[in-house]
Amino acid sequence: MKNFGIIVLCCILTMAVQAQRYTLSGYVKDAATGETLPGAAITLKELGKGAVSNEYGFFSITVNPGKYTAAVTYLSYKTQVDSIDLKQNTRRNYSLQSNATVTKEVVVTAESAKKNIEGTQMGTEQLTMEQIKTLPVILGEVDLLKTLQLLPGVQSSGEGNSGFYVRGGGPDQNLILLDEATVYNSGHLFGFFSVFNSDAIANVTLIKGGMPADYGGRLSSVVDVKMKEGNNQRFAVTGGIGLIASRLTIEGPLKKNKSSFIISGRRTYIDVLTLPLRKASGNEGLANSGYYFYDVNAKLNYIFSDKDRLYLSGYFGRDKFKFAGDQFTLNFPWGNATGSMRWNHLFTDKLFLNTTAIFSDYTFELGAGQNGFNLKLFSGIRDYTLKTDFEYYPTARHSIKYGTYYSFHVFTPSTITGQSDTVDFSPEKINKQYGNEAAIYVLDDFELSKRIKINAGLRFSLFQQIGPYDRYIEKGDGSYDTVVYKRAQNIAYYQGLEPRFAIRYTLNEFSSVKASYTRTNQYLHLASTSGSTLPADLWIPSSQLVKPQVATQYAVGYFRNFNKDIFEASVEVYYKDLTNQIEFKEGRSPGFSPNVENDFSFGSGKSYGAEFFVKKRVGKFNGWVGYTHAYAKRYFKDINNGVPFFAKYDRRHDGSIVLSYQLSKKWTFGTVFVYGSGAAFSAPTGYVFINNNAGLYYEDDYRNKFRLAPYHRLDLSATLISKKTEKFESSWNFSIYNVYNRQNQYIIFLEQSGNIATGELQTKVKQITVFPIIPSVTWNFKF
Amino acid sequence: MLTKKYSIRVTALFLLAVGLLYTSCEKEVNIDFPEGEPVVVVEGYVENGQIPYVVLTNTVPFLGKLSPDEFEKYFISGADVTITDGINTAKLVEYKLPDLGFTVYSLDTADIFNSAKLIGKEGRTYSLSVTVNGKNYTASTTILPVVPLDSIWVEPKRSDSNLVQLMCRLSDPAGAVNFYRGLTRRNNDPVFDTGFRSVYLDIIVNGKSFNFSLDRGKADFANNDTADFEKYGYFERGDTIYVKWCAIDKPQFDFWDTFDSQGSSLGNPFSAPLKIKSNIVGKGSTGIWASYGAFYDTLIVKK
Repeated sequence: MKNFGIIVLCCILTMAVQAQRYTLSGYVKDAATGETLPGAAITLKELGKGAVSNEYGFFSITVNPGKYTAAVTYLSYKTQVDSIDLKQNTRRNYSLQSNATVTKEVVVTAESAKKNIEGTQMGTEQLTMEQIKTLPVILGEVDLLKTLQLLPGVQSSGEGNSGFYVRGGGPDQNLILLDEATVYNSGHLFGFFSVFNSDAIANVTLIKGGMPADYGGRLSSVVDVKMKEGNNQRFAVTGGIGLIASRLTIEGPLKKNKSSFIISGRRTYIDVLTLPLRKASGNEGLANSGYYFYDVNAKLNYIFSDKDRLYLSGYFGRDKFKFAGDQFTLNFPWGNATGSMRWNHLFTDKLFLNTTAIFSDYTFELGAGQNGFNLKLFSGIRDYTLKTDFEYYPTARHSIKYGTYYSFHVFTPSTITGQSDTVDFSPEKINKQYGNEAAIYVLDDFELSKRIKINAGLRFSLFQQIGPYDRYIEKGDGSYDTVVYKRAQNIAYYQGLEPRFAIRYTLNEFSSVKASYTRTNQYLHLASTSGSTLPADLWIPSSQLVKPQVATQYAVGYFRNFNKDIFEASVEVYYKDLTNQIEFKEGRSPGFSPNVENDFSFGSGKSYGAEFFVKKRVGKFNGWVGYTHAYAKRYFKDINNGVPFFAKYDRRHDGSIVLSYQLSKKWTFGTVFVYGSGAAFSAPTGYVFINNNAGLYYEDDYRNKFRLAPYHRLDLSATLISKKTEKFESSWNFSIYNVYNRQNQYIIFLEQSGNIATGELQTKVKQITVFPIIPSVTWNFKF
Repeated sequence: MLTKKYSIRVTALFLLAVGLLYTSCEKEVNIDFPEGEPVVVVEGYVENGQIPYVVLTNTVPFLGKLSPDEFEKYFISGADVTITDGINTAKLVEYKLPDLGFTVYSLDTADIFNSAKLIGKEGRTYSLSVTVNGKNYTASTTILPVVPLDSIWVEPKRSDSNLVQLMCRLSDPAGAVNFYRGLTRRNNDPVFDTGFRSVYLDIIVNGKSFNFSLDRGKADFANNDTADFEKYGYFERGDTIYVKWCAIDKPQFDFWDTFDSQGSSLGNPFSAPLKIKSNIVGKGSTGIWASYGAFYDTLIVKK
């Protein structure tokens, strides 16, 4: 704690002794909607120096007095040039015009295009929804998580699944944030769709390596999703009617230039569409069954003054599945809810504050009844978080950030209650777990010399599991010793220092090399066997048995721009060391043990690989090609007989080609080609016959020894803007998923028929393909 | 006690939900699973008041078709099998049962005096030693006290009055964790059989008296081609139902639990492979050395 204060103080003092300088600061926003633009570049041409707007669109640069030409650039926006006579601290707010609303094509100036080679960040990619929307989609649903999977180093967890693995890390090692709130389960319909409604999202940033110190709590990546703020210039309605779902968004100013709101909803209607069919089937169960999901995003912001802004945003989504049969009923809802309240405050032109209060909740419930026996099963996690981030821009060379984070977690384990006629089997109490998680950090992104830029940071994090809690210690014969912890009593405590370091060395005006070292701690773990995001997967805290996961990642990269910065290219190699990884013990599966922490084995992992990326940033024809060659291994003393094995996340080859071509004002075409090595899976090698029943025999080192067939597919899309006026816009998206109808393996299973006791037993190995060729059409409108 | 029936149906409904949306395709594929070294599968039982016996087989590779004749080849003959209760020891003798097509190791009928000492007794611990081709496999198990069922009866299926569900009432002893295995036999069926799930533990019902359903044996439903799953678990009016209710220990529970729960899916993203948890010690072996503290009951279902 003390050291941290001293570091901050030293930084501030060093800056204070410098000569009199003035600050140019302000906000960058979209002229048409008033949405702030994060990541816009403000460059002072005379100095060749600049600043980048932060995630709230604020920028600040402090330089010697003088006359400057400031160029404000943002991808696919018209560059704005401003002359400034800097004689005092100056505030300028810039409103940029989107390229889409500008008649002639604008060549983006070189300055912002140099981000690839000039920034310190590695393994970072930002995508705007506009870019994502022209790409082919499955069943008409634009899905940002599936687009992220097309980037090198990011692997899909399965066909059509929104779950993903980053650089050989598990799905729980991705920090998925929606307006700073953690989203614990990012999938609808068992992961086939992500929870992010494309109409409500402004942009997404993916960090897969070199995670800066302001992020923490997960090992492998950050997916930072920002919701739109709402148009503060005029009312607008956007919507779409797709094959399986429809969307509607309303946004507008509450007070022009001061305050705006956005509310966006989405619902699937397959249950409604299939109702006549299900009724006609005559099957009572089918007729009373149904599945749907919906989600609602809402956001409100208010600009009190030039110094204070307030944002309120929330998300609520639910999946609901119902089956009501003759003797058997089933009903399960699950979903996320998040809320965040953010307050931006400018202390001075150089010191920016953001404070956020966050609520996040994930619940899963399953109710089932049969023969008078009713069961209810539920689990979940809930967070109350408060975080504060300061951004300090002392000179043009330094950009300092420091802050604090605190979260109170409540974990509800898989709890089962039941009743049979009059007997109630409900447990006396739900054995919830409680945790305090906290962190402080400081980082400085600074230019050491013309050639060298450094991003150095340090994060100190801690986690404490506190009572009340009943700890059941296994005695080995199926019985337990119970230790009862009182309210607020310390059960387990962990802490750790997480240094983060990234350096860029400029080779020449079009290329640079970068290196980074990142250490990350993760105190929450996902108890899952699926390797994907399934509704019943359980988040558990670090505890006496479960130690925090720690990762150390080293990465080196070469970055180069070609052809006047129209092309960006990079090669990155990484090596990642993981400790305290968890897996279910051999022979145990997710169940209802009194303490789920008893069910795990602990081990280590490592992953390494090389990523190649070429991107054409601008022009009518744009897109990227990415390829990853990677390895991901795990070692558990008690699993696989102690033999190291490939992780589920191991993919030797993974490549994608993503292209978009704007033929005319009306037509835009997109294509995606994906190729990946088959996922690893475990297979038995023979039958074990016990009492004429066939069991499966797995060898001692059976884990993930086999591979599914390589995965590949081609998608095409065409977007037609059928009508576009100032007042109304109508467009059609036609997509064909899996054009050449590749039968990709989703599941391989043994199909048995016959019975050894009464005749022949036949065994066939079969595969299931979930998505054959699927055409879809979506109509989108905006007025 | 989330029964296997539930989980099967839940899985089926997951697929139904997915199926409602997508036209998923299924086809046969060729994957060569290496056969590997054959593994010794031990299946042995000792029960209060009963003669212990052991069946030895080898694991069977995934052949396209497996007939009972071919299966005979996988029985292990000529093994050295010994059991002991700590005081008495007996070398088991190999009996070929040509009608049933298999080989079983059991007490020597020619040495009745010694053999009688090894008839199962509650509270005793029985150790098994098997030697096949010079390799030794061992196991040990204790016959636990019987926990009898209070009563058994049937309840009609709502949609089919000819079918009945067997119901049982159990008063579970408080305190230590109890593990149970429930089996049934119908009319002239040769052996006791279980439903898709055969073992239970009392974690949520500890020390309570409660009713639960016990399914008819799954053998009649083992053939996917002919099975009518609407009838699964139900007995019929007029049936004579024999119930066998056994107290077992944790290693046995783990074995049957993993054996019953194994799905046939490989590479299924929804589940991890489940390795059978055997109580047999020795590299290259799997199986169960089971001890039953058994209680029997019979019920004739009225027409």
